[in-house]
Amino acid sequence: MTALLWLLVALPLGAGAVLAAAGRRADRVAPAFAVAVSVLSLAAAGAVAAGRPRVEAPFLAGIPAGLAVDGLSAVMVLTVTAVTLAVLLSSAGEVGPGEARGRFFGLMLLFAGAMLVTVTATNLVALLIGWEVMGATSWALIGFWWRDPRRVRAATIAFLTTRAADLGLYLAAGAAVAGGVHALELRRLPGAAGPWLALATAGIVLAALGKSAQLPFSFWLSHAMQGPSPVSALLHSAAMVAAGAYLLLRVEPLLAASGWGAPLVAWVGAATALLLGAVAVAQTDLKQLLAASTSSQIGFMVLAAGVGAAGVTGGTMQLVAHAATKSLLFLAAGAWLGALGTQRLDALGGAARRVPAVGLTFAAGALTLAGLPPLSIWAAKDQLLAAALSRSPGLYAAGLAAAAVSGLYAGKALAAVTGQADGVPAGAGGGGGWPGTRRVGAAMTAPLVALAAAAVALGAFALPPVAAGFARLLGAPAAAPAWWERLASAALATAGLLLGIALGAGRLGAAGPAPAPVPAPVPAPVPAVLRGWLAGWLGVEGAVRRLLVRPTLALARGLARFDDRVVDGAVRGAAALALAAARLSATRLEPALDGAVRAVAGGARRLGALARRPQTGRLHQYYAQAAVALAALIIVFVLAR
Amino acid sequence: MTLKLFLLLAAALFSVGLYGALSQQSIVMVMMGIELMVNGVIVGAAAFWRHASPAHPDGQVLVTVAVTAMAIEMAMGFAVVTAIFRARDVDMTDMATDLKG
Amino acid sequence: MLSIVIFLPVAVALVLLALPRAANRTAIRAWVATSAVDAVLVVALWWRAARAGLDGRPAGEASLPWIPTVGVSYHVGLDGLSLPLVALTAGLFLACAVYSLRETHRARAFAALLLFLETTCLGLFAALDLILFFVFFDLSIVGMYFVIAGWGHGQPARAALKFFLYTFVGSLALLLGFIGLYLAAEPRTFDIVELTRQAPLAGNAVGGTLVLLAVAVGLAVKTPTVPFHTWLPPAHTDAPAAGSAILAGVLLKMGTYGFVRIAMPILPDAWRRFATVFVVVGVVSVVYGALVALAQVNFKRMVAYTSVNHMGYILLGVGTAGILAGGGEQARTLAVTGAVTQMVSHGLITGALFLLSGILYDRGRTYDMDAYGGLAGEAPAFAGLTAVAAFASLGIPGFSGFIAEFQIITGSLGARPVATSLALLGILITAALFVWALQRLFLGRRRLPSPDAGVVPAAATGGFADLRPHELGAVAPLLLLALVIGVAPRFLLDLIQPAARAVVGLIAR
Repeated sequence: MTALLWLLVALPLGAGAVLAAAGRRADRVAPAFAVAVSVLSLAAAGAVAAGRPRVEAPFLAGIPAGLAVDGLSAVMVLTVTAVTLAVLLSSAGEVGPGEARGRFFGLMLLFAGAMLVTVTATNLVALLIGWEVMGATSWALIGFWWRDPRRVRAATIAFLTTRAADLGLYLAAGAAVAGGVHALELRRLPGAAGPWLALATAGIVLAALGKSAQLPFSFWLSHAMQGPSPVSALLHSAAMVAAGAYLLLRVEPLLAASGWGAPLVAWVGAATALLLGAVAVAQTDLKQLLAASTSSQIGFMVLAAGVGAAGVTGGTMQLVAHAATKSLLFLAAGAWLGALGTQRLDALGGAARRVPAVGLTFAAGALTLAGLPPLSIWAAKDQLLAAALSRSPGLYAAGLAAAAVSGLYAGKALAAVTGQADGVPAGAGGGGGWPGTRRVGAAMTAPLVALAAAAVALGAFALPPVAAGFARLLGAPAAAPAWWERLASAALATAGLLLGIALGAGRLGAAGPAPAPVPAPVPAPVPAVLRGWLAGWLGVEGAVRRLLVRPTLALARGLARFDDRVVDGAVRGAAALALAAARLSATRLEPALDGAVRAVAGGARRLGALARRPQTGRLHQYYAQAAVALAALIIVFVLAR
Repeated sequence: MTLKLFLLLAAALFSVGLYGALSQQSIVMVMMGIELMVNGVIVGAAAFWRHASPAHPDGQVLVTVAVTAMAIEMAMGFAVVTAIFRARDVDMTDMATDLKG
Repeated sequence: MLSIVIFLPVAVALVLLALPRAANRTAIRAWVATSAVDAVLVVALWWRAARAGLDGRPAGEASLPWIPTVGVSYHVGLDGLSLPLVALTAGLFLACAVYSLRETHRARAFAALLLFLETTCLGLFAALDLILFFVFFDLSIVGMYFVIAGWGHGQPARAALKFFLYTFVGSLALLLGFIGLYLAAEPRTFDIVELTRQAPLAGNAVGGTLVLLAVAVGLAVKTPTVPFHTWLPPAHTDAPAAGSAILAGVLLKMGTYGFVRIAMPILPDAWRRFATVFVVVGVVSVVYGALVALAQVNFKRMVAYTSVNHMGYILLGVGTAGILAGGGEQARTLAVTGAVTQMVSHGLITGALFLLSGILYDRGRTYDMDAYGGLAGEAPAFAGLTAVAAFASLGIPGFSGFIAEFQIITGSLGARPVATSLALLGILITAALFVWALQRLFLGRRRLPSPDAGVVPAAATGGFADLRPHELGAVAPLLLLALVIGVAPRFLLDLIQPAARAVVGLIAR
């Protein structure tokens, strides 16, 4: 059983690495190979979900790398592998023979393996490993069509934003070591000492909010839509963005223990759900709408993590339901993009009828997303909102409002694709996509049907026995929503949906057969400024660019100049100083010293010349000198006595 | 004949000889001055011998040595003078400055 | 056997120089063969040490008196700190030898010079005597000077001279410190093991401060730390690829190794007093190096500045090891283990990056990132390998860089939370700069450097050739080793951890 757990993570990682490294050479076998691996992973996931093994391998000093499957991990593992299989199956049909299939499928498998590590990690180090590898592979996947500089830039923005948030996990790990948390285990984090508990909480919250595209990090999800649709279907619905929510659900005891963590998380989640729902309504591009709605739906999960143990059940239900629903919607969007060449809402009219299988499943997904009873998201939302109500009525109200808004955007999307066909030629607007997939084959529709079925069937979460069983699986209490709560959410969702359909249809219906060159303004009582702000994803990115990116680049350039001019200038100045001192010594000091020596020599020479003067060669002068010297000597001799 | 008288004689001879050696320009006259100085030394030595220890022969030896030295020196000196005169027709000290440094 | 490992390369170098008619290819092949033999011997030493356990005695120890009147001996031995670095040296030199298989410009002299350099590097890490350490230290500077001056490009003479004079002045400061240690020891000796046991300047505040200052300045110039780092960018940019790889991969480690081998164990008192200074210097190096690297448009210069950044982490780790309050022994051991791991990791990864930048220069004759674009289409293997190296360098888990940086950060946060949090910014900035560099070089629209006044790069005429077999054979094993360490680090950490724990214990005396 422990071997199966290792296999579960090692298989996708290893297979992905091999495929990615082989690159073009593996293009032919890549789809089949990848699908086979994901089938095996699903099987392994089922086995470990039943067997609940726990493994550990020595890694760092006192900090092993540990994986374990408990209730929550079992649910996650099954969800991730199932969605991966569906997405890869769809991609097998969608990604044509001319594309770099080896790289694509390899990276997807690598990503899936990293996600599996993340959801089975028992301690911060294993979590961080999976977390970061997910980020790196997501960069490569979002920037898959690397020849387009726009997409590459988008990938970089997404990667750097999540990496900035990931620093929180490093902080949390350091705080855990300092706070004496044994082996950095997640379940022992609430036992950290003193201020380290607060730091660990802050770090984990930061990382989770960033990864899950919650406020204020939501903008990276908008850019991530530049990647291929299967990437969005896996990463930005079921896996990467859900990892943040999963982490918060996992460390719910820590949030509770910190005192301030739970309320913060809950309110951030509620605010994101509401605001990003509004952003979704204001979008004109299908994938952007879905992206904003992802952020909003995950806001619900984050909200659930902040309302106590009862919220864990609801949050996990929402996670599974959303995974099925959103990946379905993204895959459908991708199919239409390939078939019609556009993802703009106003150009997708009649798309549902063009490809009926996709249209039906998309409709099912959209209805589920709106939160209509008795579908899965409605059931999950009721669970977590019930838990929210027990904590704070304000949160409950905010959650209800957000649920209404989700009806709005779901309705808008539904109206867009089921509206009249405008006769817009294929290939107009949106752009990008796998070339040459005008047909939507069986490989693409089968997963859609499966996902739609799951999205609908998981409405069983609303049944009390199922909810109780699920809660027991997770080891958390189940909240029991009252009948009026269910009614309220159902009514709001329906109202929102109808309003949304009206909104969406209002833009297209009355325009007539000829396509309008500019879409008619939305007949909603929303001022243009607000609409612009919402459509631009709340302008956070602009603020980040102005306040963080540009100053940092300016600082970097300034420091580089400082380094060259001042620091290196000091070194060059020292060298110049040494050369100047050398020149000074050579031209001033050295001649002076040498002059002194020469003066001494000259003096000696003059003394010598002076000494030659008495030698006149005249004998009698010699005698005179001898006599004088003798007389002097005698005087000295006499006096010294 | 006291010692004092002899020493006076020796001093007088020495002084005259010194004056001569210093003031004369002719080489021969300088040598005569040197001779007088040596004579003065001989007289002094002999007087000291006679009055200090007449029994010992030390003073006689000294006188004999001095006379011998005087003779040899005279011979050498005149030989040099003659040679210089023959070579260069010089007999004044001022004209023989070969040892000028 | 250790002495054979150390001196085999220089012996072969002398033989090479003595054969005047040896062809270029023969010389390089002899170099490859010698490096391979050395690498195998080092692996054997590692195997023996891992099996037998190092239990306090250095492996392969040899001791011969050299200058007995001043207590200098030829004392060599390997322990958990030096064995990984010796293995790194052997591996990196082998990779550079394989990389240079197609070298034609005075290959005989090049091979001989690099073999000599290999001896000095191996000797330094194995040295257990201060003067022996110093001799190898200076000889390595000399060897690298000739490599840069003789085979470099751009302004090689100027860069080589700057490198030589700057690091040489540093080594003189180091010598001053060593002499200080010698004079304070009782009995007087230069032996590192003996000095560690004595801790001569233990109670002496002034003396300890001065000696630590001298030693630290000397090592800080070599590491290099801010503000003594300005010799590094020109030396790297103008050196040949193999020279840069050795300079970054091995020579920089001499500075940091000196900290853990000499400064920390022999001067525990002074180290504890000034630990915060080293932490601050480390953090400043991390952030400053990353920011300046971010602003570069010259790829090789950018990688050079990331070296400053990576070495800053090491200093952060060893600095916090000296702060006894606020961190348990486990945290401090983690920090030191992380620092030594970072030495090995940085050597492998940045060595690979410099070899890759050499390939870039070979094809396009420029390092200017804006002159290239979309190279992933022209040279997919090169692009992939560089992307792997870049991600490994920025600390993605799965590679050794993460192991090192994670240990350093988690070990240091408890003792100096503010400083370590600032150092985290370095992780973000290096991520940004590497991804941006990859973006500029390999992704986007295709662009190749245009011919410059008379110099026509091969790239402009025939496109950008992908990796050749010898280039792949040089770079891939380095990255593979980084991957192995990142995924299964125990074989390395089992060696480093006991030594790190010993160092931490020595500091706490």
